[in-house]
Amino acid sequence: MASSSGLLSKPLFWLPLVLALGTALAAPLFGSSPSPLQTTALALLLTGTVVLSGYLFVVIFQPERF
Amino acid sequence: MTTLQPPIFPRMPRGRRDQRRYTERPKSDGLLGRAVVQSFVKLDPRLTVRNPVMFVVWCGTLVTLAATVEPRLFELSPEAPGRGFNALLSLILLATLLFANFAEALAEGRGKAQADALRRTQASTQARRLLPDGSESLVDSSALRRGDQVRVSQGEMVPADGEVVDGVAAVDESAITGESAPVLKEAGSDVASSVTGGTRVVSDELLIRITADPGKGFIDRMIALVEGAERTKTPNEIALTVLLAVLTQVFLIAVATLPPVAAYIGSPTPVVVLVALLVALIPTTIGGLLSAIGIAGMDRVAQFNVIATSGRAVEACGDITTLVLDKTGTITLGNRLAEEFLPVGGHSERELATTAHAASWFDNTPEGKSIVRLAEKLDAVTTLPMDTATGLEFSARTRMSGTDLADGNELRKGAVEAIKGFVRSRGGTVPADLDGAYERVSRLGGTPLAVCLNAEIHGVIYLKDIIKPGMRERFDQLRRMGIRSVMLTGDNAITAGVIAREAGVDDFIAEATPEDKIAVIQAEQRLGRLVAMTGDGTNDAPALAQANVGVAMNSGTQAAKEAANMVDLDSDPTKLIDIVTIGKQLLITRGALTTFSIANDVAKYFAILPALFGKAGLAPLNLMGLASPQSAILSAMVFNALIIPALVPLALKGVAFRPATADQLLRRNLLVYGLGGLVVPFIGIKLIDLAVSALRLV
Amino acid sequence: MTDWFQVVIFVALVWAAAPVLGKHLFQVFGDQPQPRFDRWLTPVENGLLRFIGERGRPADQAWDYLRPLLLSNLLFGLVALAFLLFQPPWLNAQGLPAMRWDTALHTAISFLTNTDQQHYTPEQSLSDLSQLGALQFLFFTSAATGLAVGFAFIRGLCGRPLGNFNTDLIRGITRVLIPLSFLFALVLLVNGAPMTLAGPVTLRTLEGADQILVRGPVAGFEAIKQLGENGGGFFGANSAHPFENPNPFTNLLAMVAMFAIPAATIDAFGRFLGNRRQATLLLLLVTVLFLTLAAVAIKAEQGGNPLLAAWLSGPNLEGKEVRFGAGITALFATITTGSMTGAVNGSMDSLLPLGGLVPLFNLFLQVIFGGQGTGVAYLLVFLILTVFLTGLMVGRTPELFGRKVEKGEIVWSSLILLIHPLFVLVPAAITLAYAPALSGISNPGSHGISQVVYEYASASANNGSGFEGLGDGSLWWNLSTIVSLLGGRYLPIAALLLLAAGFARKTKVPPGPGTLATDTGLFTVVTGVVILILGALTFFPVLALGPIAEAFSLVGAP
Repeated sequence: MASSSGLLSKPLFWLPLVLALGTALAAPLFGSSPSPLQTTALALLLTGTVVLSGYLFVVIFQPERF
Repeated sequence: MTTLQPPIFPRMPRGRRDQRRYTERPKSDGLLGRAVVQSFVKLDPRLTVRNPVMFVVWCGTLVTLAATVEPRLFELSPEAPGRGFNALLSLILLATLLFANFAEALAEGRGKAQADALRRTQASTQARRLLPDGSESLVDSSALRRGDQVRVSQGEMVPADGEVVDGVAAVDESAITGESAPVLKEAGSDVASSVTGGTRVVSDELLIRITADPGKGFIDRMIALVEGAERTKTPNEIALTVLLAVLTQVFLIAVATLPPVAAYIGSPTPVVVLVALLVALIPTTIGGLLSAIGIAGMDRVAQFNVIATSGRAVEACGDITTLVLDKTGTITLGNRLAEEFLPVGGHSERELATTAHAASWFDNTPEGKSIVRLAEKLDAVTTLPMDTATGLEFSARTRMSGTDLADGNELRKGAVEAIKGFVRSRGGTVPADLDGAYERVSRLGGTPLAVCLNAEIHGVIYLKDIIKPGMRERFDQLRRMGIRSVMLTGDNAITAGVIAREAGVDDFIAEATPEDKIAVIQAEQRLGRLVAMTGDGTNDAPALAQANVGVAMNSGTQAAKEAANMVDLDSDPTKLIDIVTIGKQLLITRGALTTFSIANDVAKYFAILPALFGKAGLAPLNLMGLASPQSAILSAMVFNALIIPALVPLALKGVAFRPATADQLLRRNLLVYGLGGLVVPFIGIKLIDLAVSALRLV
Repeated sequence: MTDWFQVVIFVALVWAAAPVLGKHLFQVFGDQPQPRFDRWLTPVENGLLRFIGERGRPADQAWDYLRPLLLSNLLFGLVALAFLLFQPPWLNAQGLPAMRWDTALHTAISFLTNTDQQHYTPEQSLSDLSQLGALQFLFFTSAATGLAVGFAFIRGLCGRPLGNFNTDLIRGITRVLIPLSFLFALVLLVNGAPMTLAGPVTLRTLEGADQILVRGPVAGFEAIKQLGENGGGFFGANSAHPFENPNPFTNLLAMVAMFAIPAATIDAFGRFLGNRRQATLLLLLVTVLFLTLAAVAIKAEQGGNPLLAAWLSGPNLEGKEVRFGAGITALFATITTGSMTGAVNGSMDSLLPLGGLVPLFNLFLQVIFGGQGTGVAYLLVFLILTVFLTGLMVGRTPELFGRKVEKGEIVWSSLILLIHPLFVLVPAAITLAYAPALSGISNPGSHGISQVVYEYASASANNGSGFEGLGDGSLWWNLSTIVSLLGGRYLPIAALLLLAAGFARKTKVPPGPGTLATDTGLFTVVTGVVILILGALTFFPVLALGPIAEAFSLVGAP
């Protein structure tokens, strides 16, 4: 328990993973963009917004942690 | 009347309250410079993430920076803002972050200066630790542990908080209290046996038992608090953080869902402008200043020479509804002085004075000394053989003291009821005119002390209580804040009533024993009231712990200080009123800035939405007549950034608080911060827009 | 002029009914003796409670109240779904087939959540058995569920235990909803609403063609539809249909019926609190908000469409029932959206932009009288938020009704603020992003935005009305609105119960001069401003792009 939660509590470990996964999943939504760079950027932006929203939910329910 | 000697209250700060400076202002050289550096250090996301509102701004800044590097990164439309606009926007967002960090750093810096001043008193010293075999070893003060015993001689520093085990010495506590007159410290006495680390012994020698591990003393806790190092959020701060996070979440959703909606009517929304809209809407003003307000509040408490063990305690002060105060030393000057002898049962005044003189022979309390003085003035010196007599100390249980002569004669003085009981137990009778004298003294607000020789009551001593100057006004203030004051006293009901009326307290408990204190507090708490009390004796400790806010006097015992959540270094019980004000100011400042922050949004909507959706037909919403869409957005953002440093002084000083009813406070603050929050940004944004377009920034 | 006169009569009737009905509600949910009811109803209620094995112990924890609520609602939903999915031949004179699975699921959930969005045409889809067994059944249970939650919340806020859900549910039906709808149904019957199981009649029209005239047990259906703030019509035309709403008199009563219980709940709240002044001020607040919105809507519809002004003067009569006229239809629309009923006597879609903005705004705020039981709860949640915001400004930890407002209260109140953005804005954005594939929007431009946002707002607010042009019978609409329906119903209920349970456990602080008084005019005004600002700030962008942009386009903005 301690080791796994220890790893999960390190944002540097899971944040890039989540962002990369989200970007990959969201990329098809922006397939019509002219460049692959823009597709990736928009997908990353969408994922980032969702993650940010998730972070805010954590703050709302566990404000003591911040 | 009488020649009262000026009372000696070594710890009482002098001068009028409003003119007193408790601690000299800590040195603030380089404070601004350090704060500027800190504002950049605090851009570290690991720190920003603790503040949800500013973290969203931080993320938004990343997006605009990316769009500055490559303006076409998120946009297709050729009308999307160019690199110059994005760079300006990034700068403004960065400034917003830096301003918020600066506010926090400035508050922390001031706290640090305060802490340094405190820490100077803690400079590491050498201490002579007593070893079990009785020998001494020289150790560093930081090596001392709870329970160690140290010897401190003339000229040496007390190495840590402790309790005097042996010896009598004068101690200079000016480093902590600012009061230059040395204080007498001795073992065994309730009040005078505790010493604080960092004070200096100026005469004689003390054996001290250390009561705090290094880093755990009161001063250490205070340092940690004012530095913000161990800052934990107070309950109100937590609730406010939740509300701010929810508002941020609401606006994040509102803004993030806008692009598809806008795209549907063919009015694409540039990502950078959406970021600007989001940052404008989320409550950055209060978000950026929230922690500064809290730190500054602790700093203000420290300036009053009060050590609080947590921010929670200071905040709780604002909620206090009942204040329990000891009469003696708090409402009245610590010492009652003998004013008059009232003989009864056919005795003469001189006879009574002589008996009183003998009964007070061993009494070293100020009261006892004043009786001796008064008797000597009447030339009524006892002729009894005092050299073979023994003294009987006053105790709260017997409520009398006296002298036992070698020949078996007993002299007693004390509470009238107690003496009556004593006389009856010796087979005597109570003179008929005793009650008359007792009542006369009580009606004057004095304390009657009956005096007897064996089974015969000679009369009553009138001990006069002197109410401290300015108490009535202070209690009036408290009443206006909605705080009820309760006076506790060992006096009889009549005396207590007179003093209570004169001092203007709302309620009193007469003939109270130490156990009554905790009972009173519990009774108040059962009614849902929050109780603050001040105390100094060891027998106050349970009550201090039971009270929602317990303020111990620094002159009090270690036990009292441990039980309390605040320690007043000046030992001025009325200072609680100042702490209450600080607690209320803290809450008002947070509420006012939150209201201001949310009210600001109305104007920002009217600046940004018409700019964003001019083509969708929303141009008429441009009520302020801003020059161009881009200047409208920039102006709103500049206003949003500048309002933070503009409000820093308010956040650090706190909103002015005048004692008033809740309704009056609400009316006033709503007008200033609610209505002001609606109107100010309209004017501010318009002015900035005029400047932006005059400078041709966009 | 007569429109304004009717507004005055309407408000007077609601205010007159509130204390009478409020006293009754207080007796029912405050366990006060009601000799006239107890004699007949107590044995019935106790029998029912014994039958389901309920001992009537009041709930300590929110979950003790929530669990039976969720279980019973699940059961009710499944029963209704079975009726709709199978639609047996009994009482099915037209021989209507079973509903498509997604429409059946959507309909069952929509009526279960007191919403009554109808993605179908009732008289062409539902047998009398389905109308009665599925829909009218849910009319009662969903309204009683709402009432129960409302009063559990009120109890908690007043420091009492939450109560027992099953008892509340049954007593709400037996003592409030059945007696009131019985009376109202009688009035409707007298005024000509049909009440029959005889099936449709075929008529020969003047042109000699055959016309099938659908009848049914309408009067009873209609009564609880209005009183329970359900709103799902027996006919597609809803309250514009002469069988549902025979004449202007029944129209007035139908409007009063929608506000009657919410207004009375506010009154009953004052009795629970022992501070009727507080309740009166809240009632006054929502009445003023309501009158403002009604005035905007009536004015807009009376003014007519400025684009047509050159050819056509007079009010905007498109999509209106001429028996009632433009003004009354606008008034009805304001009431039906304010009260989360969703019954309509005209076409929402045909309202002018500002006339359409009013219903949308009502759905966003959810407190201008609000839903059955939940309306007053949301109003009190706004009161909590106002107390928190302004309470800090008097220098005390904010208190409401003698109890401190702390983290727990803010978390659960704030959650209610988040429901709408999550369940309206997010699905609306997704739908509009894939508009050609998903939406079935009948209007391009700003009006299309209003249509989509309205549909989700109506679902999430559990209102049920809709902008008619939307082709909402598709799989996407059925399934996506189900999410908003459920999210908009059960998440706030859970949050309300958690809030109330935590609040009731706090020690009461006696009021003093330092206490912020909530029963003052000043505080009531502040509450109103907070409601408007918090509600408006969240939805200003979509309102701006929808109705406001459309309004500017009508007046020919530059």
